[in-house]
Amino acid sequence: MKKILLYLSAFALAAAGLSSCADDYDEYDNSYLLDNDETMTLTASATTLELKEDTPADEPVLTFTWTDARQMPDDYIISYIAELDLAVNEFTTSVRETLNEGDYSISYTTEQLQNLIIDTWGQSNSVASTLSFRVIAKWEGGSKYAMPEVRTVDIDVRPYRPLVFDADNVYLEGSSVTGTTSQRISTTVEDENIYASYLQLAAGELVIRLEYNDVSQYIAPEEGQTTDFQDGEAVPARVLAPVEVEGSDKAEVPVEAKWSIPQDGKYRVVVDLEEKTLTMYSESHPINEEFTVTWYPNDDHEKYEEITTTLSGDRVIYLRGDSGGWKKEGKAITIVQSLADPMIFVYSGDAFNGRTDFALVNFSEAEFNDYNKPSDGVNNSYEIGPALDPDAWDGDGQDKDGNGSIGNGAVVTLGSWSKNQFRHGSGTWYEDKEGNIVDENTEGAKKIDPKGSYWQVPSGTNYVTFDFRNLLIKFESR
Amino acid sequence: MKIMKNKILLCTLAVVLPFLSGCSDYLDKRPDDQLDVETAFENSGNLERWLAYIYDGIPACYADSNWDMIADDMSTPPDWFSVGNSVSLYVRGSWTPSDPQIINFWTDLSKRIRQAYVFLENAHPLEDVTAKDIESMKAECRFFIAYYHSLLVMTYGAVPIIDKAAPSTQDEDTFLKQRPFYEVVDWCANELLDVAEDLPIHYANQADDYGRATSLWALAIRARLLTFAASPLVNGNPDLSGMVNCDGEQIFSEKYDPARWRVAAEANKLLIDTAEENGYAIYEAEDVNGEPDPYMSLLEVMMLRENQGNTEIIIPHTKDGVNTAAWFDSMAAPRSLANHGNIGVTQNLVDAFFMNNGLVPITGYTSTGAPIINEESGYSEEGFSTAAWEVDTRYFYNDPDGKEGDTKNVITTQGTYMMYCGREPRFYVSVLYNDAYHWGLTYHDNNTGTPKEYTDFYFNGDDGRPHADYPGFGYLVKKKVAPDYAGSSSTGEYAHRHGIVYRLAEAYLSYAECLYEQSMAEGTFGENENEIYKYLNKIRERAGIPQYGVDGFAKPAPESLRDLIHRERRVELCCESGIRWNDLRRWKEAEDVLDGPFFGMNLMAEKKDKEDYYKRVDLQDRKFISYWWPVPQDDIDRNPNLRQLPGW
Repeated sequence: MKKILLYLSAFALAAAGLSSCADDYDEYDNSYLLDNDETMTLTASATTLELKEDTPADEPVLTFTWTDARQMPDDYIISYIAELDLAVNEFTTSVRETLNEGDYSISYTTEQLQNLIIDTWGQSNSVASTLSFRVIAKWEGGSKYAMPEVRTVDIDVRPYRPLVFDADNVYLEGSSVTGTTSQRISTTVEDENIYASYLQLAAGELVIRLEYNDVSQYIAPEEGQTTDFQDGEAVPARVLAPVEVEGSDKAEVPVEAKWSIPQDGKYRVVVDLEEKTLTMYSESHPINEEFTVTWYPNDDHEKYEEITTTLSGDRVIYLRGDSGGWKKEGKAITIVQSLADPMIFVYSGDAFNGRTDFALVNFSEAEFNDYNKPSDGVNNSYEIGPALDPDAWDGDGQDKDGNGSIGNGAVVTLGSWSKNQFRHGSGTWYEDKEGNIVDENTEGAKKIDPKGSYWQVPSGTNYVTFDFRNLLIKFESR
Repeated sequence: MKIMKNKILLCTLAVVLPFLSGCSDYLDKRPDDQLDVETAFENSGNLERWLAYIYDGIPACYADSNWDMIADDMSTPPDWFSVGNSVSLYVRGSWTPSDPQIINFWTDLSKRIRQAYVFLENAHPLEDVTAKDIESMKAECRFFIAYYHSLLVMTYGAVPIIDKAAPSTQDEDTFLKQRPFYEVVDWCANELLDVAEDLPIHYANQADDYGRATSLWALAIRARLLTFAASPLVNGNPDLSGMVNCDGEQIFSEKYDPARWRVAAEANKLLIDTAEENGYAIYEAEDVNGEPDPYMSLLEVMMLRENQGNTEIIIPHTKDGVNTAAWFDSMAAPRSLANHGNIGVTQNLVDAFFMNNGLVPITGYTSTGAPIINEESGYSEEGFSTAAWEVDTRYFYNDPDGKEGDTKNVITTQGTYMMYCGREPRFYVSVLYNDAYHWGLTYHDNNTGTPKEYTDFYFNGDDGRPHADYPGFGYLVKKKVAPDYAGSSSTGEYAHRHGIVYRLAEAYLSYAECLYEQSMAEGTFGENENEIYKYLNKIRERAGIPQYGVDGFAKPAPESLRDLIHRERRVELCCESGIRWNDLRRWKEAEDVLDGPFFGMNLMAEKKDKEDYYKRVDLQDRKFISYWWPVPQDDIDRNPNLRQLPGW
């Protein structure tokens, strides 16, 4: 088909040339003007080519070479025109270069070809494109039109897929993953760029596959890093493409992307796409400890037994204040535990605003509605409220009530972290500047009335991140 | 390029037009013969039709020649073999890959998968279809691509992954290769999990959109698939080690991976938790006194729609509306009522139901097929009941004097064969046996002056042989059949029921099974025991039989629990959505259960010889060919990359 097109094309050119000089056509021996004695040959350095992203920018990967065109009288000056185009476009969108006599080759680098195929011609980087290259030897000068010599060659070029440290989906694979060949893991509740899972793995190889725009790539350590298990270390990582198996249409996981799992057990695997790191934690790593608070109802150490509450899984807490209502039960909301860090929880739901604190309740689900004022008068809640900054007690606005609380609400800025504290839900006590509970007569002691302290939450807030590891909180509108 | 487009056009017309002709609602929108992919997606009507075509591949719940008929649940009469009935031919092993298919997934679902890809590639917002609607429809397409792959891989074992809309079937098949079983399974499972996040739990306009795929659909199909994939048939089955694809890759893993059970248990738990958080629950009806009524619960869970309060349905088959259900009623109701009366259940199923005291009546069979009776259970095959058995229930369809609003109703009348006495409620709402009082017959015959009619399956009886329509093994199916069907139509609210592709009870039973298997493999039965019994007992509680470990009813030894979990599933989910067929295969029990003599009652006995009728006789000799359905021979011939499944 292509040959026919070429012949037709050559014929068209010839016809155009003939018609322009039809009057003189029979008067001279002009056989040299025609193509009977064409001599030019054209070769390509490859008929198929797969571009590799890591090829040096200036390294030619595709070279077209041709030989002399036929000899012409001295009054003819030869030049060569090289054109490259998508084969289907038949040189209507070609890039063109005029070369001088003596130039018998032209080369293209990976970058040039990649840009042409993807940017200039808008082709996909997931399939090979057939390119046509032609060289035209043409003459100027002389008294008659000289038939150019044209040679064309086709070549299949597969562009590379740029490796991007990004993913639409993340999968754990390899011999350490049991029960499935491919375990999809989720983004964390607090950050869509972090994928994490806490799962049982077997001793063996762990492969982390990123699927991005339907293309698979694998996480490997940066040069100089290791795939050995490093408990809790955030390993700088890069992505690698699958390695094609020669003589087959299959691709394999690059050996550099096979991480080592030393022994059977539970592991927390955290992939941070923004930081480009992989962090793995063994079950015994401290990060796997969950947040625990202990307190005595009414702060009465003698009358009541110590209460211990561990925050785990999806947890109901209570929103109180302008936001959740001033009724004692406030409004129940659910906070969801992060897969990357069990001490991070996220609320995502209806927007709220105004003075706000949160209450953690040691319930007995049946009693939760009464948590703030149970029948025996015992307060068994624990408050999550703004940190009382001892340095700011004197007049910078945080301690407006002058009694150790922030009754008007600590102002928070959406999207930035604020300090929080866990406090007893009722009763008052005295603290020194280091936050130690002290006798009221101690010098510098300040009365703390925690349940009267709130954040002043801006309207539109519908997303709250609780970082109990660092006692921070972040309000956002998403 | 133009040639390719024409191929798409032809392909599109080929699949769309038959669908259009089958849906009268859409006939006024029939596209002209200029329809091609581009124009098809420029019109909201065409868009909906395209989507509806994809939906139309969901296996029918009411049918007389599908996978529910080829296990040991339901059956057509055995001697229909002589007239070439496909079910009879298949169960007797007279079947080749060239025969017309009872299960036609290979050809049918592959087309629908490709059409789903065409939708994904071409659908775009229109004046009357928002971008959000399109995204939702695309999520539905993605669900169906994964769902249909799951059906394919569970049915054929060795299947390709179809990952694009092929320009033509022939071109595509040239390249398709079967992929390893677990590669397909895990690909589907991940796709389903992924798309569950994009599908809604409920549609905003539930009245119009009920029946469209939801996130629970995806989680349910995923749970079902992963349960299958953890099971003995495919998890370390040495019998399948020789099956390789055209590249020599092993299709099935020889190595047993107990963690497959863990993954399956987690998938089922995820479904249960998500469903329950969103208001789904086991359906439970109450009797007149406000107490649980297992008979009405078990009847209505199959009869009521979601908008009638049935919160158990996860995947409804809404196309199974009043017409298909009424057709099924007519096929299953006694012949003297409905002119058909030929869809029955097997003796195997009758034997499987528990006693009302929660015990197993028959523990096995001798080499001659005689039942080994559990004497403790109180089960007997000797004689007839001497009194009616009345219980607290609103279920009045078995009571000759029953009527709506009664506090108590008779379940078995005096003179009932003892085999059918003292059985659990599920038995009575699933099986129609001989000499049973039948409300529909009575209603029907009241007009002819013969009230209080009983079934007559005897030879020369109104509903029995020698007529060609008769209860094949001495039983008709009651499950899924409206009890108030009376000849030409249902008389009540049960007429408008949907088919049920998946209900929450399956998730409970699958979860109990997977957690049990995981625990036995890991040695953690003690830790998980309460959780296993919790879900198993939820099913037994609704069924109205004693729960294990409750009120003195003994828990079995851990190693005996597997059989009881299987039995619970067998009777709870009988006659539903091919579940038994797939269970027998995945448990690797089909080669025993579906091969050899099938017994039933002596249908050659006349009414005057009543006792002769109630004898077990060998009615059918079955032959089981293969655990996998064959790839159609046409496809094997056309595509040299395909390999036939073992046994064919």
